Amino acid sequence: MAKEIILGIDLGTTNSVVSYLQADGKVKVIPNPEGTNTTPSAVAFKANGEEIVGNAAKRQAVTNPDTVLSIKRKMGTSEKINVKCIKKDFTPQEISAKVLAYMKKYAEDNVGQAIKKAVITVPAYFNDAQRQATSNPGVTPALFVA
Amino acid sequence: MEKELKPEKKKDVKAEEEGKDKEPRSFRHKLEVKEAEIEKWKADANHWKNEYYRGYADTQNLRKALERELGEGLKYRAEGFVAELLPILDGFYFALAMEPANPEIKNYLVGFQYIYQNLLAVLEKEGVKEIAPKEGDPFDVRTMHATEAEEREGQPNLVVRVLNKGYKLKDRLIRPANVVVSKAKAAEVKKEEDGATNKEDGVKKDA
Repeated sequence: MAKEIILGIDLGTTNSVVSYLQADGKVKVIPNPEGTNTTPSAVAFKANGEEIVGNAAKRQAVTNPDTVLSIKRKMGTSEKINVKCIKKDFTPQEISAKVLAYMKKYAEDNVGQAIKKAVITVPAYFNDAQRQATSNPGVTPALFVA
Repeated sequence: MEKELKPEKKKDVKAEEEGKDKEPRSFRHKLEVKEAEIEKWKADANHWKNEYYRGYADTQNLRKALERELGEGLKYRAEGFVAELLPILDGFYFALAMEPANPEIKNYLVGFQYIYQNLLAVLEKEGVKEIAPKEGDPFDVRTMHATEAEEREGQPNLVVRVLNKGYKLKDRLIRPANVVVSKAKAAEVKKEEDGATNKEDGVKKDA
């Protein structure tokens, strides 16, 4: 069995980055499917139920009012994000979880093994509610967050 | 009557009996020690076997990752170079899109057109493909970047104007085509929303 990989995720307001410690002790940034090291922290919804995350979501933000950007600013608040095209409300944690799930998926594809643990960065000024919201295991599927 | 043994003989017999007892005890002890050693060696062997398996798996994973990286590095080796060439290609494209009235300049432009075509042909050989959407094409999120949305009659999400061509290197997007996209007029959107609300109200009333 290969050594367990623990991801290091920088969940940013505008962009996010995912990395891990290689067997040779070097930190490797995992590029997204489009080949870039940073992934926009953007999630877009379409009326047909399709969800777009990352670069593609950012590219169509102007045309799609149901694109959620800079969700990190709302972490830990009770504010709901109303997605009109599918008539559904999302918490900031749920939106954030979609970005994390997308990054986890492409990280798994890249390293070729399942990943269960991650360390997610938060700004020093984040309060307890914001920290809890970021690492909420209920909405961050299949990732134990430290 | 038992014949009494001489004291010297008595001593010898006692020593013999003690020796008999001692021998198996020391043998058992030695056996136990050896068995303990074997158990320790077995545990050690298992430990190192496990370490070897893990090390082997790690090496294999690292080898695969390096092979993949090397493969990708070779496949997209021209990425940075192509990205730096894009402003030059844009310059050519916009300059050649001009229609000068002066015939002398027109002739010059024909020459530059050839140079531009040659440059594109060389890039195509490297795997560079142009993304050149046309007015009226549906907006494709995989290859285009909507920089602006303009209210238009008719279908929304169509390309209204192309600001920049996009480029792909093999299957990787180097730069999306920057486009202006159509969107429904605000009045139409409001009408649609009102219609949807009325429908919902109707459903609620029926229920």
